[in-house]
Amino acid sequence: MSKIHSTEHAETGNTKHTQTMVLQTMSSVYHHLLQSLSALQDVKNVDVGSSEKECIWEDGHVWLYRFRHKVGSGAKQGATKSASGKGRVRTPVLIVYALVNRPYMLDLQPDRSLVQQLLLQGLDVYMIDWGYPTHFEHHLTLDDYISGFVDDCVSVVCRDADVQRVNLVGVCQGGTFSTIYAALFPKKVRNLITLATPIDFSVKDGLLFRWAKEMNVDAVVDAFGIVPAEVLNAGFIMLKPFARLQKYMGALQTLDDEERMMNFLRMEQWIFDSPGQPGECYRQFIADLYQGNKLVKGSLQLGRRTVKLQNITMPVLNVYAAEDHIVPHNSTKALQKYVGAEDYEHYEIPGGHIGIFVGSKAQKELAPKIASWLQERD
Amino acid sequence: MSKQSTPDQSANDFYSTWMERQNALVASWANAAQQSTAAMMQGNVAEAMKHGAEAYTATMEHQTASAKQMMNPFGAWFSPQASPNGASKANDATTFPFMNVPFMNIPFMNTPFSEANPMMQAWQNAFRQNPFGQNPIMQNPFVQPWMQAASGAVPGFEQWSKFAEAGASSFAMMGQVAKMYEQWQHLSQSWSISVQKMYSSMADTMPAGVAQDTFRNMLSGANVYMKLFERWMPALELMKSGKPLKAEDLQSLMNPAQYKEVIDAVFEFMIPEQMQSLVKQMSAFTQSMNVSTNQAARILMGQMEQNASMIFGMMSHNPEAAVNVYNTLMSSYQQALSTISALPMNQRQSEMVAVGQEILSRLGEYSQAVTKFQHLLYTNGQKALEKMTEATFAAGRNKKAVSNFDEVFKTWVEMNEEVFHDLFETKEYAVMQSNLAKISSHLYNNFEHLFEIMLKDFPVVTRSHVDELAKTVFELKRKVRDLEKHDAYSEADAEPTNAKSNGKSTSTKAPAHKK
Repeated sequence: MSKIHSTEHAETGNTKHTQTMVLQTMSSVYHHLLQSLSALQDVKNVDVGSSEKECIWEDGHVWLYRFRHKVGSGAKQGATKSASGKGRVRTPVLIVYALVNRPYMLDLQPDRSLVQQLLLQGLDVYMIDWGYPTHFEHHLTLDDYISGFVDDCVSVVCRDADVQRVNLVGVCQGGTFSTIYAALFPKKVRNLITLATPIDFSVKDGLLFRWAKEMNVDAVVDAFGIVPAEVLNAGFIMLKPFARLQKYMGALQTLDDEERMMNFLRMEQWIFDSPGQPGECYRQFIADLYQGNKLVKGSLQLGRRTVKLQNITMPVLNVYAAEDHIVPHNSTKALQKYVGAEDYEHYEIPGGHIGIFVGSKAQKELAPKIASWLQERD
Repeated sequence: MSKQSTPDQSANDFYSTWMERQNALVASWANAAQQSTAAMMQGNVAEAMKHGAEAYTATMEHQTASAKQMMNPFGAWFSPQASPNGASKANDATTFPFMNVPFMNIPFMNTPFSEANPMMQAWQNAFRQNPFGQNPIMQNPFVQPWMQAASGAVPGFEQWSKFAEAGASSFAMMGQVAKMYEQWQHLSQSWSISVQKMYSSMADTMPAGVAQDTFRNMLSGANVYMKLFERWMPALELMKSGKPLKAEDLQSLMNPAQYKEVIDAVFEFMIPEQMQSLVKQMSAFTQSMNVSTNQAARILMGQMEQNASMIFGMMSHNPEAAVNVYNTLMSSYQQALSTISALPMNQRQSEMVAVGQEILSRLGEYSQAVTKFQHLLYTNGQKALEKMTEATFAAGRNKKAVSNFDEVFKTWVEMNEEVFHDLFETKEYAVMQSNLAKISSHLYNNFEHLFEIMLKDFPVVTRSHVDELAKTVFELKRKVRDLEKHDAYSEADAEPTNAKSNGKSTSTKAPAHKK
């Protein structure tokens, strides 16, 4: 598709020319909009979540999925070798995603799928889907999620795979959940992998961290019960409000390519597919973690138990994004200071908070790293 | 350099005036609402009307005066009368710290318009000759109305073009040429707005979902892009041609009143019409629930709607519209008070009046907070614009003029991200944002409360019913879960094969397969 801004006409510097340029550009912009409108009207369905999976357990709005290895990939469940020819990792991987947005970001489309890459590396992959909580779930606390749902899912995976422990892989807020779980139930976690995970909430270089500190979370939770997705999305949009405009202007020039358009729409689908947040859990996450920084202070209470990061003695792989504007490195890397693990590794992946999962470099780097690291510790 | 002669100062004065005006309006309005509601509750109609009328009149006078003052906020700075010695400050190069080139007159409009002029050709190419005619998208039923409407605008452009052609040959004075340019800008903007409205209507017909949302976001991005393009194109073209800039070019770039529209579009501030619509919907719902049973509530909601309409209507900077709103308000105010005075209030009505009063007060609080918030964004937007202007002119001086507008747009995005990131990092911003969320949440609670009171006698499930049930369900589920865990842990304790380190937590017994 042509560029939006026309540079035709050699004569410059007079009003007539300027008016012509303005009119041409306006026409060009509207022409692109018209084409986009036409292309978008034909879109009936934006397919996301490309890998085959089956639900093996559910409780209300929470589902646990087991992903299937592709037929002929040589990496089916129980095989001794992965598709890449490496020895198979026997301990299954349980992915714990954040409550914010949907977990299919890890399986967006066949060529942008961390799940697919992990399967190809011979790992058995399970994933928790937190679903869309309704008003009936607004009382759920952090403890209900971690000691309840995560623990239930770990038990189901252990039974399904006939193992005693799982490899826990937590993403963003799900990484915080996984870290807390590993501290509370260390015997159930063989290895802990955290991806772009906030740990130390006292850092000063993340806007969400700064904003959350001033937030009156009680007012919001008391009013809504389930905190609406729009409230969270408004915050995410304000992180880079101008770059967002540029993104859409860029997309305007590419929507005549169906494949690129669908790639763009899948990301858009994911960005705005945001479940509401169960109020009590949200209240505790903001008040105890963002505002109180109780996880690293060792004073976070879940039910009657106190979370002690020193209990995390299993091997830890802590992966962070080089240009993460949502969870700053300082917050992520702080984990090393507080865990009791001797086998601990930081690993930097190029890209932003989302890019490390869907970017082309990440596709080649992240899954092989996770697989080889786990293989050495299986 | 005098205090009033810098672009910064003028812009800040504009935004400060805007904020003061909004705050004064809100304070006056809130006061009137409080007084009238209090008087209503006491049944003192005459007193309520007296205070209410006085307060509203004062509000209107203030609003009309300040709106007039706002009409040309940057004019004084650029006006030839602005300087004590009669010279335009815009002609004083020292007033622009980033410019070291003197302002000079440039040959403008030196060729007449004709049917063959490139602008008309572009227009005709775009619409009259219909480049999309052979395109399959023309088969699309949504495109046709748009094309028809666009074609309908052609005569308007032609008429303007003839006027421009006639005028161009005789307009020698710079001011007249600038005026023409301004007229042209208005015309192109009107066209742009009408086309965008059409697009927006077309988006309405798309199935709701990601494609529709994406299109709306693109429309929004294009809107900002075009607003900027219109402002920047004249200056960029001059820079490319190596010709110096004059005051009008800078005025177009730096005018805060116009730039406010850009910032409004970026942050998608809720415009007055949307707020009015929201209040009307709320009011209509309330009225429909009460129509047969509670006239007082209906009257109260009518008052609220009118008051809200007034306050949001004022935000449009249109004094004439404000006068109309005022007249409507006063008429319904009198009607409402005369009716309510004839009705005895029961307890439910009193409760509703009290909550209604709280909502009015909260709306005032919200309006003030959002005004401060917007002010902060406007002034920072202006700061970024000035930084960008400085950088662009510096590039021009170094013979590195930008070659197309996409580069300008990219620079604009980058500089704004930088400036706004600095702002967003401040505690002041975080507190302000948090305050807005808090007031909105309280307002939401107030409306919930109002509905609860109204729905009390109806066989309808209310929020508190749902909350109560949800709590019971949650507590029962938690008990079941605890029992299941306890059972699992007990069995695990009995199994010697299971390792045990932290008491209960070592069990790997799976919970019941609930699928």
